[in-house]
Amino acid sequence: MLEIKNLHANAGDTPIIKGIDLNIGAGEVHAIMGPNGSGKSTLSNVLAGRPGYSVTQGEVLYAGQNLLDMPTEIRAREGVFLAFQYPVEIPGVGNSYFLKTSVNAIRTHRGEDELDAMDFLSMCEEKMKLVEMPSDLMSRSINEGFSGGEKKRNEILQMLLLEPKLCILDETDSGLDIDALRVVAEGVNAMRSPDRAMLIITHYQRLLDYIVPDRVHVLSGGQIVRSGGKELAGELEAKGYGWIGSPE
Amino acid sequence: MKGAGKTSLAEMWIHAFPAFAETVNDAPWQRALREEALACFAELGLPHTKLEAWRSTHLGVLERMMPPAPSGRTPDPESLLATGRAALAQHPLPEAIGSRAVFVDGHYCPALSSFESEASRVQFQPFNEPTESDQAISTRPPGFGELASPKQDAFTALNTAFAQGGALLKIAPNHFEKKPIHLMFVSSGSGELVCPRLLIRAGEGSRATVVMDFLSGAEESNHGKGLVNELSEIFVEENATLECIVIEREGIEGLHIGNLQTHQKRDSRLHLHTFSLGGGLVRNELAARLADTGAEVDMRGLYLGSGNQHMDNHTLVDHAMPHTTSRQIYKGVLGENARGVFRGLVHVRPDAQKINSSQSNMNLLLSDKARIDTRPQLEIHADDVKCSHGSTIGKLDAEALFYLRSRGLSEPDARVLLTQGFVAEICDALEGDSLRPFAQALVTDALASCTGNSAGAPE
Repeated sequence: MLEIKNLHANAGDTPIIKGIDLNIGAGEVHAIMGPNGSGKSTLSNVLAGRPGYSVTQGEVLYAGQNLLDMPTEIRAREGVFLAFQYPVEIPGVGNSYFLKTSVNAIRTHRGEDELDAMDFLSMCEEKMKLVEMPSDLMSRSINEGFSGGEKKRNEILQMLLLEPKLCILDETDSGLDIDALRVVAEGVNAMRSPDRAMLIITHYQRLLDYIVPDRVHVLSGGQIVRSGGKELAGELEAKGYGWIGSPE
Repeated sequence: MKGAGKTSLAEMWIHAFPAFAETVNDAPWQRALREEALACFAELGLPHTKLEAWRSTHLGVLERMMPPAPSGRTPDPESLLATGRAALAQHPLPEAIGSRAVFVDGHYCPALSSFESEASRVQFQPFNEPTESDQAISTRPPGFGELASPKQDAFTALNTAFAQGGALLKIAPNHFEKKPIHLMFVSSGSGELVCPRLLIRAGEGSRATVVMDFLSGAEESNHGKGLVNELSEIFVEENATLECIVIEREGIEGLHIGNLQTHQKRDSRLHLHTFSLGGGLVRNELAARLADTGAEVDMRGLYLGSGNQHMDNHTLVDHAMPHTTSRQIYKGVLGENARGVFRGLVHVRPDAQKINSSQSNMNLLLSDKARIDTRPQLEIHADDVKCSHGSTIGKLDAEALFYLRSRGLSEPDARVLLTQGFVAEICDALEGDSLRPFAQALVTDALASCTGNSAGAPE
């Protein structure tokens, strides 16, 4: 599903990612862990196409296609979804209207009919229950005045509605209390399926108690310095990042 | 006298006045006012950029257009009717509208106007050009010319000299006029100077909504060419509530100089909304006098410009008495070479303690060439007041743009959505549900042309 080959990338003019190789197959859940500044967020931003990041070397294939050539919205329509570490507040734009526009942009791209307001609402209600999201958040402006937990639930709600093929979660657990974390994890687990790949980026091992990954990678200094099964997360929890060592 | 042999615009108007005054169908009280006003205009001349109030608005486009003064003749009613009818067909009024009056180039069209059954509670009287059903006003109506003095402002003088077909609108005390009253001003695009004049009096304890809708006629070639120099004096009596919505959506060749002068008595509430959506050059002068305690004014303005449009809002709030409240929110979206001006002055007089005032001007620039001059100002002579003011100028938030695109929205769609979000609070502030969708639709259309050309432009 996702093949990252010898990826080098800059944030602005600063080289951050210095040679990452990673393959994620359909149905797999991979976790990337690492200390602050190791390049975790740069990786997710490069995959989503955020302006300000540039790839200097290497390539990324998504379902066999060159992902890096696609504009951000085409990546989204082709099934790449990034759950933001810091979801953006947009005053004046209704959350419900935004979600419907987004769902329909993606449905149109897939050759499906657009949903009308009624169909959209009933689809929404069902998914909102799953992330325990209060209904008044739909009539408010996008993320405006939402609590940290509400913002992250809104991200997961979007993921549930858009049904992407590749889900990238960028530190979705940061700043969440244990209850919100459980809700978010339930949403993510509901999405696990044999034809969907997931990349979970996290600073804390705690999330991986709820979302059990197939593979865990440790990122340090812009490179993957260790990979292993889910037990690697436990080791990191016990020993911290200190024993990993730097890539050089 | 300017350059030899070449007549200036002001001179042209001054020369045309005697013929106009001879011809126009006037009530006797108007004649003396006109002559006095013309003398003021002759003395003041056209405003220029050396005047502080006109520093950022150059009237070169007006001087190039040289719109001739009106002839004073009452035009053929059939042709007025045809122009008005076509405009109404192309720009249908919102369903919620109750009473309505249509003016074509300032001339009242009785055949297209109607005041509903409770009409005695809403009094509408044209100043001149009496018709069978409407009695012209025989004496100067109280309030006329009291707020707008021809001595201080050239366009006030010009309007007073050349006004034709204006009207008095009076809401009876304690009357609640549930449906909005729509006043439609159609410009035929003749290229002339048109001076609409209104006097609005909201009686004690009354409540009403008045829409002043300025637009160009239906013909495709009609870009609203001409100068609309409009002047309205609005009196809000004790404990009355008046909502006033000004919509400027003339064609691109239309020049619009609007002047709204308001006076509020004790415990009255006034909501003023200005939507500047069309016209080549638009200048809105708005002066709100809070003349007694408890009076509250809420002013919202939205200006959307593209191409070479110039949009100027010039506000003055006079807190003359204690315990008065004013709120101003002006928002602008400017694309391409459009230019905006906001100059707002809040004046708090020495004894006006415990007043509450806020003033904000926010601007979104969609291109590198668009420009805004913003100057919110406070002049406080009392010591126990709550005042805030501020202005912002920015571009579309790159983070927000990326967020929307990462959810599958195209870049142009994301820009439109963000721009709509930026202006949403101005439409949302309209009282009652009836006019909101109408205003929203007009704003959405105007935004489309505003964002259209800049949407695909690279960052």
